[in-house]
Amino acid sequence: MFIPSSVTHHFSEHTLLSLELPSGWLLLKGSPGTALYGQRLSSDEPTSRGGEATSPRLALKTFLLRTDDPHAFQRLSEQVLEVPGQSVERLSSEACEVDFQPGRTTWYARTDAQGHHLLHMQTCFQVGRVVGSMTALGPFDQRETLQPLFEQVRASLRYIPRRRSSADV
Amino acid sequence: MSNQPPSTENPTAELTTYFHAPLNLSMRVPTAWNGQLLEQGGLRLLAPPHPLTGYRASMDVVQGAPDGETVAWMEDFFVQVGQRQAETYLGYHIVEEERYALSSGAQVCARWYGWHELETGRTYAQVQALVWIDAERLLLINGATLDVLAERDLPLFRAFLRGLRVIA
Repeated sequence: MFIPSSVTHHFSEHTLLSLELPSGWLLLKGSPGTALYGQRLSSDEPTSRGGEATSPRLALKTFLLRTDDPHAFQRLSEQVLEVPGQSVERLSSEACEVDFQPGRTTWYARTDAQGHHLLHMQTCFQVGRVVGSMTALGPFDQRETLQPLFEQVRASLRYIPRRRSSADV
Repeated sequence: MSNQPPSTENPTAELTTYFHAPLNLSMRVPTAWNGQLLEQGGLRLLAPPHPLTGYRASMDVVQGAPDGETVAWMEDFFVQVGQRQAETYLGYHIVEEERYALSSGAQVCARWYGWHELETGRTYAQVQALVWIDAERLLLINGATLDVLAERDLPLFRAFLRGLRVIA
C-alpha cells in the first residue's frame, strides 16, 4: 500500500517552472512565458455569477533578462499592479526564497471592478538571468486558508533549466 | 543550479536544487556534495571527505527498464532484493521500510538498513529505493554512509528521496 502524496506535481513547458498544487487544481491556460492554474469550476458555479472571478487562481510568469542585473526581481516587485476600476491596499512585503534563490513577496487587499474583495499575493524571484513572478488571487474572506496555501505553493517552486519547447522559442 | 552536476558553489547553504537532464529528474541535494556522471545517464553524488576518516558518503541514481509491467512486480522485486541482502550482508538489520507516492505520481519502495563489513571493520547505514516512473523507467537509488555519520547524512538522504520530481 503506497501512501499517496498530498499534492500533485505540475510542470509547464511555457514557464519551465515545476510546482506542487493541492489535488483539484489544474493548468487552465498556458502561453509562452505564462501558466495559469486554478480549481475546476463545478457546473453549478457559472462564471456569470462570479464563480471564475472569486475562485482562487495562480498565475506564473518567467522571462529571460537581457542584462546580468542580479536585482531585477527587486524592481519588478516594487511595481504595484494598478488596474483601472480597482482599489489596491498594500498589506505587507517581505524577503523570501524561491528555489533557494532571492525573492520578495508582497501581500495586497484588492477590490475588483465587480466589488469582489480579494487577497493578492505577488512574489518576484530571480534564478540567474531568469526573472519570474507568482501572482495568487482568492476571496479575501478565505485568507486564513489561502495564505498558507499560497506560501506552500511558493515554497514548492523550482526553475527547471532546460530548453523551452519549440512553440516558445 | 545548472545543467552540470552540483559542486561546492555555495557551501554555506545546506540544500540546493539540481536538474539532472539525462534522467529528467529534479532533485534536492546538499550544496557541498559533488556529482559524477555514471553510465547510461546515471548520477553519483559524493559528500566531501570526512576530516578524520576520509570516507565519502554517496548517493547513486541509475535508471533501467523494469522486467515487469506493473508496480506489483516492483514490490515483489523489492522483497527479493531485501532477502538477498539478508543472506549476504553481515549484521544486516532493517531499520524501516516505506512505500509512498511522489507528487509526480512515481511510486517509491524504500528500505533503510545497516550492515557490517568485516574486511574494513566499518558499519554502514544505507537506504535503497526503487522508484517506479512507468513501465519503461525504474530508478534504483542507493545511499550509503557510515553508521557514525548517520545522524548527519540520513536526513539528507531522506530529503533527497522525498524531494525527487520526475519532470517528464
